[in-house]
Amino acid sequence: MLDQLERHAGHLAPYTELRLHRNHQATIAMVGGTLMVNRARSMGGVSARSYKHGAFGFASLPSLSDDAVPEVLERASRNADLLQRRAGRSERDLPEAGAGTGVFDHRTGLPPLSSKEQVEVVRAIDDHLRSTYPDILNIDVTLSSLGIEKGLVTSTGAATYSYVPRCIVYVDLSFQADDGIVDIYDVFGGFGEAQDHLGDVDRMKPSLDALYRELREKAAGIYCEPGEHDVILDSDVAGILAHEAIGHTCEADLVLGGSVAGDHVGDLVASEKVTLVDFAGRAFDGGGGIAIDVDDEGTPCRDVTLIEKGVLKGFLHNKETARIMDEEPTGNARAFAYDDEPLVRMRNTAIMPGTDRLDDMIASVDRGYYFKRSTNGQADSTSEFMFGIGCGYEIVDGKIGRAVRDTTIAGVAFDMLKTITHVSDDMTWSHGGMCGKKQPMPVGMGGPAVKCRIGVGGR
Amino acid sequence: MALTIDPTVGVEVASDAVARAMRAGAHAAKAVHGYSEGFEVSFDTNDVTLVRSTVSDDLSITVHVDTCEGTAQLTGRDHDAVDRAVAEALEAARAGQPDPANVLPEEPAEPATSSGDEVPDEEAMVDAVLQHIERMKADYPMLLSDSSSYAFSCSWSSYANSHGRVQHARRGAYGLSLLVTGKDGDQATSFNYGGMMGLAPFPDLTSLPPVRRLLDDTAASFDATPIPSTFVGDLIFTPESLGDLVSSVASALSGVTLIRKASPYAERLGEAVAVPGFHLLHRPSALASAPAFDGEGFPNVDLDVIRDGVLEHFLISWYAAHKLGRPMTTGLTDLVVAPGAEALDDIIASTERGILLGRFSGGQPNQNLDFSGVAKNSFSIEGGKVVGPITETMIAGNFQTALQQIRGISRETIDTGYSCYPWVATTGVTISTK
Repeated sequence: MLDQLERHAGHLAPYTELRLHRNHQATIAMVGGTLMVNRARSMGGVSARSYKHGAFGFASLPSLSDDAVPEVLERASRNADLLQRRAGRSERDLPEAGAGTGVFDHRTGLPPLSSKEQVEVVRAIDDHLRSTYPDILNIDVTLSSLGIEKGLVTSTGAATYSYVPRCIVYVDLSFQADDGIVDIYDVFGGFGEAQDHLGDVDRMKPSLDALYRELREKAAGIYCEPGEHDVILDSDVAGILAHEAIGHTCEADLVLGGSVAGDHVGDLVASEKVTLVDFAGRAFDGGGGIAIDVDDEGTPCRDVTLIEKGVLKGFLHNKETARIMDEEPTGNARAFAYDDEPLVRMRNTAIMPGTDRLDDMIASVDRGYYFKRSTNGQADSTSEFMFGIGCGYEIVDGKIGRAVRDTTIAGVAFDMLKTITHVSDDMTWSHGGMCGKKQPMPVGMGGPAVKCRIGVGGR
Repeated sequence: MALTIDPTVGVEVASDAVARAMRAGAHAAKAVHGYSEGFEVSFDTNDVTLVRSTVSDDLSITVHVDTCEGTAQLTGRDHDAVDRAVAEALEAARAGQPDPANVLPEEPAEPATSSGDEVPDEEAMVDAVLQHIERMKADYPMLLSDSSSYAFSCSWSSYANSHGRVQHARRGAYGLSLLVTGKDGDQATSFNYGGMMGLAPFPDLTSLPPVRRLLDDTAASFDATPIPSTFVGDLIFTPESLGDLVSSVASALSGVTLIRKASPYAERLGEAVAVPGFHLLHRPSALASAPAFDGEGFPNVDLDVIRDGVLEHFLISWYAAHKLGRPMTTGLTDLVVAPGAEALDDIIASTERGILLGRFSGGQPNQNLDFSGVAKNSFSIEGGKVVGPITETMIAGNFQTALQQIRGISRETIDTGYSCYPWVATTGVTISTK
C-alpha cells in the first residue's frame, strides 16, 4: 500500500494528502441462541484532500487501484477550486507540523482464527451461560472485529502505513425481574485480533459468572435517589468521564464552535488531584485501546496534556484549527473510512492514577453510590455531560449495599471535577470505546477510580 | 459529476454475484448492490470549511448452505474480488449453525422506482451555504455553527436472489445537518442540532421551519438555570425529542426484540398501549428518507403500528416472521406520529408544572423502557407559561407509562423528512435538580 502511494508522492501539488484506506470488519452475533449475523466486510478505497487558496477540497473513489489515484487527486483539486471560485478565498498557509513516516503494523502475527473457530468462541460463551444459568431470560453474544489499514503520503513529506486491529466480544444478559426485564452487559477483548484474545474461552468464564451475579443483584436492585450524591466512579466510568466531560470539550473545532473550555486555559478547572492526558501511540503504559503514531494529515502524534494538576493546559488540534488558533498541530486528525475526511478526534484519553486506595475511598462514603460500568455518554459545549450507568451499587456507611437499576449521572465538568477528593492508585483502559462525531471512531478511554460529587437521575 | 463506474447496472452486478455464489456451491444466495455519488459542503460560523465529493460502490453477498447463512461485503464489483467474497461467505456459512428461518423470498420482480435529482447544482449548493452563513451573522450573531453540512446524494440500490427476485431503486436527496451553540462573552448555551432531508434542493437554508425553530430555541437558551426543586410533573416532548420515545418503543416492537424475548409488548397485540388518539404509523410514503425496499427486496409500504392507542402490528421482517411464526409486516422503521386536535399553546397553557423537552441526553433506555437523562435545550413551564431555559435538570420515567399518560397531542407537526412528529405532553415524570 505504501509502495503504491510513494510512486505518486513526488507529484503531489501543494498542499495534498493522498490516502489508501481499507477497513476489515467481521461480526458474529448469536441472539437468543440463534446465530443471526455471520458477516465479513472489507471496504476500501482512495481519498485525496487538497488545500488551495485557503480552501479544502476532498474526494474519494471506491477503488484501491493505481488507476484511481490521478482521478481522485483531480476531483479533490477541483472541489477546492470550486470553493475558491464561489467564496473568493485568500491564500492562507497551513502550519508546519513535521512529516510523519514509518510502518506501524500492530498485528501480532499469531495464526488467525478461522470463521469456524470464531463461531465456536461465540457458541462456547453462549453454551456456558445457558447451561450454567438456565434462569437467564436471554443471552446475546456478539464478536466484532475491526482492522483499520491505511497508507498515507502528503505533499509535505509524510509517508506512513498502519494496521490497527481491535476485537471485542459483547455479552448482554437479561432476566425477568418481578417488575420487568432487567439487563446488563460487559465487554471483553480489546486491542488486537481475535486470535490475540479469544484462544481460550475458559479464561473468560470467571468474568461471565461475575456478570451473571451482577445481573441477579441488579434484578433485585433499587432505583437511585435523584439528586446530587457522593459517588465513587470506578475506572471504566472515569474513562468515559475523561472522554466525554473533558476530551470533547477540549477538541479545538468544538472550542471554535463555542465550547466553554476556550475561556478557561490556564484556569483551575479541576481538583489538583486531576491530570488528564490524550495519549498518542498506545499511551504511557502500552495499554491504550487504540494505536496512532501519525495522524491522517501526516502529523507525528504527540501526547497532549489537557489538564495538569487541575489546570486546563490546551486543546486537541488538526492543522486547520492550529492555524486558526496559532497553535501547533497535535496529531489528532483522524478519518474512520476511506471516504471520510480527517476530523479532530481523541485517541487514548485518560485521567492519570493517584495515590488513594479504592477500598478506602468506598469506606469514606457515608451514603452514596459506587458506579462500576457505563453504557453511553454525551458531551456538551457547556461542559455539561451525562453517562448512562449499567452497573452500580449503593454505598451505606462506607460499605457496598444493594445494586441499583439503570440510571444516568450528569454534571458540569468544570464544576464537578473540582469536587474530586480521591483518585485511586490503579488504572484500567476500557476495551470497546466507539466515539460518534459525524463519523464513528474507535477510541481508548482509561482512568483510575475517583470520588466526587455528581448528579444522579432516579425516581 | 463525471462517472467512472456505470451506476445503472446494479441489478446485473447483484445477479452476477448471485450466479457466482450458486456456481461456487451455495444452495441459495442473495446480493444487494449499492452505488452512490455524494456532494457535500461543510461549514462553520464563518466559512465553508470543505467541499467533498464521494463515490461508493458496495456489494453484499449472502449465501445459504442448507439453512446455514454467511455474508461477505466488499467495495467494488471486480470479478476476482466478488469471487473472493463469495468464498468468504461460503466459509462463514459452513461454519454456521442451521436456522430454518434462513429462507429467501420467491415473489416476482418488483418494478423499479426512481425519485429526486441525479446530479446537484454544486455551485448553487455552495452559494446557498454562503448565503446561510451571512444570514446567521445578521440574524443570529450570538450563535456559532460547527460541523454543519449541506449535502446531496444520488443512490442506486439493487437486490437479486437465486429465486429470480430482483428490485431496483434510485433516489437523489438533499440533506442539511446543523450544529449550533450560543456564545456571548463567557456564557455558552448547550449545543443544539438538527437535520432535514428532501428530494428537492433547499433554496433558503435559514428559513426552513425546523431550522428556524432550532436557531430561535438556541438563541433563547442563554441564562439557563436549574429548576429550584425536584418534583413529579409534566413533560412536553418537542418533535425533536419525541424521536427518542418513538425509537425506543419501535425497538421494543421489533422482531429482533421479540426473538430476544425482551419486549414488554410481546403479549400486548390488540391491546391499548397508549391513550386513545395516539397513532404511531409506519409511513414511508410520507418521508423523504424512507428507502424504497427492505433487505429482502420487499417494497416499503405504509403500516399502522399503534392506532388510537391500540397496538395493531409489530415491526416484523421477513427473517423475523419465519423465526417467530408470525406474519411479516415490515423490517423498516419510517415512523410518524399523527397530529392531535389541540394547539401547542393550549397544551402549554394547561401545564401547571413541567418542562418543554428540546432534547433528551440520556442513557440508553433499558428493555423495560425505563429512561433517565438530562433535559437539554429545554424550558421550564410554570402556571401554563414557558418561564425560561433550564440547565442541570434530569428527568426519569418509563416510556411505556408515558404513552399511557399522554394528556395532549398538538395539531402542529414538524416534518424533517426523517420523521414527522407533533408535540406530545405526558405526565408523571420525575424532574430533578442537583
